[in-house]
Amino acid sequence: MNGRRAAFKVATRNARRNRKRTIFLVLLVAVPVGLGVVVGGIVRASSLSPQESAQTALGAADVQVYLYAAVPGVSEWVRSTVGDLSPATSVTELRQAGVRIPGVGFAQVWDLDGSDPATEGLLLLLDGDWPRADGEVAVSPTVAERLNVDVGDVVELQDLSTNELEVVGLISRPFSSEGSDILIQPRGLVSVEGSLDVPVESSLLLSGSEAEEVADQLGAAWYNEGQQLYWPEPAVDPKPSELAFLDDQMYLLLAEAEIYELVDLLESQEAGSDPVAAVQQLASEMVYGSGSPRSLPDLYFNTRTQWLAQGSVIDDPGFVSTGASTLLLVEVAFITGAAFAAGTRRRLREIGLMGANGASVKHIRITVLGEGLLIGSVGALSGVLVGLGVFVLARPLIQRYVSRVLVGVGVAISDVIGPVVVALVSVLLAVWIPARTASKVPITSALQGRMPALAPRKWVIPVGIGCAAVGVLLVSVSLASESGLANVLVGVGAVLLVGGVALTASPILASASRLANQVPAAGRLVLRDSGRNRTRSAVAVAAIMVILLAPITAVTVAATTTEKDLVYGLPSPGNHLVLASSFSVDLSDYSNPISEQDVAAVEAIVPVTRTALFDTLDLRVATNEMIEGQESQDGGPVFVANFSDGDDVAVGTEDLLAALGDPGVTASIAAGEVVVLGIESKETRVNLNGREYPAHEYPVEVVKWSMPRVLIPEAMLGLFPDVPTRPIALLVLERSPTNDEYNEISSLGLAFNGGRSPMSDSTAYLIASGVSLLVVLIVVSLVTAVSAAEVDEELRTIVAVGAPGSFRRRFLGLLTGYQTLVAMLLAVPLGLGLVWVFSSAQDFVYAGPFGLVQASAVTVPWPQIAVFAAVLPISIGVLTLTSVRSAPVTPPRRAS
Amino acid sequence: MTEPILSMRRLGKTHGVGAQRVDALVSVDLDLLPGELVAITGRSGSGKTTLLNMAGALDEPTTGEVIVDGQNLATLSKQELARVRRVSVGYVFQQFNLLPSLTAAENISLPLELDGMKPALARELAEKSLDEVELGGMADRYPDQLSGGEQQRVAIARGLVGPRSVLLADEPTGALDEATSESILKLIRSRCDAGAAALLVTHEPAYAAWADRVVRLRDGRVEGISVRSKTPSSTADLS
Amino acid sequence: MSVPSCELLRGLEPVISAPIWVRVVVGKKSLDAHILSMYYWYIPSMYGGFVVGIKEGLLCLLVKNEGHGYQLKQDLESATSDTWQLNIGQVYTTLQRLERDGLATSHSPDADGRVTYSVTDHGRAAARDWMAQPVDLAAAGRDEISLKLLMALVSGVEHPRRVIEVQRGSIMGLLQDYTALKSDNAHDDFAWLLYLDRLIFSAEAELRWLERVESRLDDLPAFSPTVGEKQPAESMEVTP
Ligand SMILES: Nc1ncnc2c1ncn2[C@@H]1O[C@H](COP(=O)(O)OP(=O)(O)O)[C@@H](O)[C@H]1O
Ligand SMILES: [Mg+2]
Repeated sequence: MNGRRAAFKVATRNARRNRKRTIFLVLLVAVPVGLGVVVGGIVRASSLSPQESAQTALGAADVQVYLYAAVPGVSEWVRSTVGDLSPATSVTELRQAGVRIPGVGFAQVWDLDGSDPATEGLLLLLDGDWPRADGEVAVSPTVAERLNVDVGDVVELQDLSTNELEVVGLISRPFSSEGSDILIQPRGLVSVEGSLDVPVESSLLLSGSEAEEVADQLGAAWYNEGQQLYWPEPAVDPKPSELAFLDDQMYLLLAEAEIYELVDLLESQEAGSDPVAAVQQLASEMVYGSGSPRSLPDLYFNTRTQWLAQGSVIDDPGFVSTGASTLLLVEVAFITGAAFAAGTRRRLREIGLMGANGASVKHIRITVLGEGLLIGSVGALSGVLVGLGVFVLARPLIQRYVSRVLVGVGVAISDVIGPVVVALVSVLLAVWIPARTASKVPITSALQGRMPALAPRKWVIPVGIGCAAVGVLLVSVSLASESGLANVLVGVGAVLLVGGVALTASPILASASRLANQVPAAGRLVLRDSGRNRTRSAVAVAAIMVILLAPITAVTVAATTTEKDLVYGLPSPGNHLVLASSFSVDLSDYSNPISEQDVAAVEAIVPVTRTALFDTLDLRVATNEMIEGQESQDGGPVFVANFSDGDDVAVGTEDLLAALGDPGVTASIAAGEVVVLGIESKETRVNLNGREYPAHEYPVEVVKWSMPRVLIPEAMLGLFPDVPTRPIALLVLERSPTNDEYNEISSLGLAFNGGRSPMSDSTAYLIASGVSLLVVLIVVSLVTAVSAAEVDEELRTIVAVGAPGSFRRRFLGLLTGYQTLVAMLLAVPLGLGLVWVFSSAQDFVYAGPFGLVQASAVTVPWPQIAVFAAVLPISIGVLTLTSVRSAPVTPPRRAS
Repeated sequence: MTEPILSMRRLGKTHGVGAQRVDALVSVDLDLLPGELVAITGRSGSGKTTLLNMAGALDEPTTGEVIVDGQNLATLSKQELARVRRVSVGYVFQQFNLLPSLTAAENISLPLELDGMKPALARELAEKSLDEVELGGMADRYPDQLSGGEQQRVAIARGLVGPRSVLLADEPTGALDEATSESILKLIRSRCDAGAAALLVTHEPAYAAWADRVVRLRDGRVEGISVRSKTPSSTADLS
Repeated sequence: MSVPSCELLRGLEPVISAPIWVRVVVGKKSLDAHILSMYYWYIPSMYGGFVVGIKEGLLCLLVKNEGHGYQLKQDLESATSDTWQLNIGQVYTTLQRLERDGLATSHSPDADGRVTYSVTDHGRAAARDWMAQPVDLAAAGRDEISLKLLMALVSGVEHPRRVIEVQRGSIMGLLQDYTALKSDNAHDDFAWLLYLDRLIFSAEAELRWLERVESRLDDLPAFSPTVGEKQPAESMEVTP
């Protein structure tokens, strides 16, 4: 035991002595852990725990008795029943109503006694005091802002009180920093209940140790006697025997006339083959179908136990933070592994010395593993601290982001444990191989600082391929299934696939080093170095490979998505604005046609180069023709889609043609042809209201879904005499509107589309590629730093025999370029494989007016990938070459 | 006659195979008695280091056997060999003898602690050892705060700390100047006079001369042995 | 307390070709060691120096102080840490020679009959001259071991490598003995150490020379290790 402690002591000393490397690794671990904690915290903050959900409904009480469709007297009945059942249980009344208030909009109005312990936590008092007396009110910050009042001011809220009300406090709901809430004095809603045109919802909060039992008994009492007291008498008593099948409660809600109507229906021919069903349908229409559905008063119970028993939306935010860190830590594991592999080689003499002094294989392994454990724990701990710090500092930001007031730290232990465990495990895994290697070196070689060149293990390639195959299998099988476990299995499969391919890096480097004889000195050194120090270089290659996966899968997915989007037409141009209709005063009516004024209003906001106000014809452009042998996403048949949602055809007026500005289109229309605004230039046929016409398709960018895809010459208008038309407007802008302009247009009350190039998928993916390239650079520089530390010793000799100091730069440049190249060779098939595996599970088609694409089809952008694969290693190499330092001419004194 | 503390019988070692085969040692017999200092000399490549590695349980002989403290190393497991290195033999190399991250005292107590001794006790023994090599005040210095000679002294102290009684020194003075080398040899001599045993590899005759016996290796064989007169008064006509 | 002393038993002749025997006495213990004749190009000059040395030594002492024979013998012995054991007769003879050569003058005997000597100007100059002269080491050419090796090479009576081995073994033994004496010297007796170091360095030089001869031998086709007969190592085994 003491022996291990001694070995561990050496480990801690090593960590302390190589301070730079230790700090580097600690940071490497800390960043993802910190990120994980923050992400976990944010996810937790944005989802309510069961306790918190309970608090929003119950406050500090134990049971909420919701008085549904309450009639006078129910509330009193509950109070007295509870009083009889358990005098120790207190009852607090709480009322809420959703009221539209001028200047505020929709507001939730509460009445409760804020100082009652049972309501504690339902609302939070941010400032001032609870309203207690008549004429006092507390409002949420949003309301205060809208009304421009503060604590102490006086407001007039006509719906709630005829008098002026004094704002005595600022309140908020516990987990929401926004929302319009108004709290008036206790029982404040009772007095205005009749005058409000919305119902006031009442609840009774029961608190006390017996509350939940009381709730059970109360339920029984309600069932046995309460209902008899407060439910109405049937309109026709007894129930006619013909209607025996009708639900009793529904029967209670029927008026006398309605009952007879139902009886009549049952006996008439109209009822059809299944009269019982017809009657039931009519009855439920009578009760629930009208504007104000009828209901029987009832009691609903929400107990704290029930609340706590139900999970929150995301079962455990800890899971999210763990996932977020895992991803990063896979990368960290590789870099740490490389750093340790390098460090071990540099410390070979020390390891030999320990061996010569009687350290056993286990002891040596402990010194390396112990250092990893130490770095892992310190890194994880500082990551947690930094994460918590960031979380606390960014609290206002996060509160706004998740729209909720955070109480307490805001980060739970489970958010922290996951990332920490993952960090420790991944660092230990990363260190395991170097530790094993170190402990296996014969002491005599170690003492001379010699790492024996081992032949690549025979099992590596089969195991790597096996892992990858199992990974593919797991992913495809799990994607097809829908169980909760499947998500986890997909992750495991993906990690296996990546890990399996990464394993093959080592034998590849080993066999590539055999080519060393064929290349000039610097290249030979690079090949030999990577081949000999495979623990380090293979891990470096794997680290780069993982990062390269991102851009490769991104460009592939982007190309695939672009290909699939093409079946719906070319991407929308950002400077086209299609005004479809304008709102009427009545918010529910969207269908007013576009007028010149509407166009002028838009033109006043944003510079417009061309405007076309034109008619669309409500023609059926294509039949809903079923495509044989294809299934849609939800398993149904696939139809050839319409060209757009509604108005598919427009008349090619001069204005419109000018606005579109496509000479081909203009010429065709002039020649009396039908034109399709599509994706390529070709002759085609278009079916209009059941008749086929020859047409010419041109590749034209128009606003997807809103612009008609078919243009007909005015001369053809006579063919469709009775077709309704609707005017819409196409505005071609000088540029895409700014956000402000866009918002201003929105406020005009127009239904419009376009005017934005909402980031297309491909742009998004290209941005992702850019970002991951940046990460590649960072990773490569980390890996280079690690390799450089190790090869510097050898470079010193090379410089001593006459190589110029710049040889170091050439060497490191070649080394990183080479490692990136090998990583690329692995990443390309792996990335494409990943995309393929993940899309292979989708067996439906994308069907649009311009074609069909299998969802599982993968479009590989070979030119981009080829350029990427050729350019990246070279540019990484050149970047390294230009950024690293030359070797010092006088070797630094080495600390022995 | 006292039992040898280290004894090698018909020891042979072959490195490599095929064309790279090197017979580094061929049938060497050597005994080391308690209190004895034996020097091994010979040209570079004559097998000195190989012999020492064998004696120190760092390497396994191809033929023959090594017996340390009555234990035949061939019969021991890897764990037990490590233990032999912890408790029986101590090594001193030409350079890089000390773990740079441990202080002088910690370097010395390392084998003891690795063997499971309580740190406090190990520290006590280490300090005693340091006193014996006249570095009493330097217990808490790190190797880079010690001169080359002091580092070697610490290494010698470590080689003979606690139960260890056989010192294996491979060119311990190779990186030192003459005066310092002399003092290191004097130290080894005095430790042997105090009861330890040492195998000293050197190619300097003047340093080898500190030994009771000088074994000269040539191509992995013992070429000659010269013995110091047991007492300076004995008359030996060696001509 | 042990007083080391060194007694020259033989070889006081200026030119010696036979082994020189040195009796080294350390306290009660003493060691008979032979210094091989090859030292004759070093040691004879030294021994010659001893012969001359008494004269020059006494002269130097007289430069410092006048004195009578016994007193001068004592002074000289203590100056050399008793490594010189002088014969009183030798001292008187030498003093008389100094006076004869005009390097010293004698005074009339005192009450105890002791004659006191003092240095002359001529003597002072001679002492200074002696100090200024280097010791002549250059008399190389015909020593016994060289002769033996050359004879082994031409006659084949014995393999030269064997000659070297034997020679090396014996010198190594000597070197060990000297080193042992040196390490036994507890009180850093300067003169004693000076003398031992002298012997040690000489022996070391001899070993180096043998080493060199051996590698020269390796270059001779007839005597390279692969061609020449090799002594089985066992035959050399010496068990303590
Ligand atoms: N690990 C090894 N592999 C191959 N040959 C070795 C190895 N170690 C030593 N040798 C060879 O064994 C011989 C003896 O080496 P060594 O014991 O180191 O000599 P010394 O220490 O006397 O200079 C040399 O010829 C050397 O080349
Ligand atoms: Mg060696």
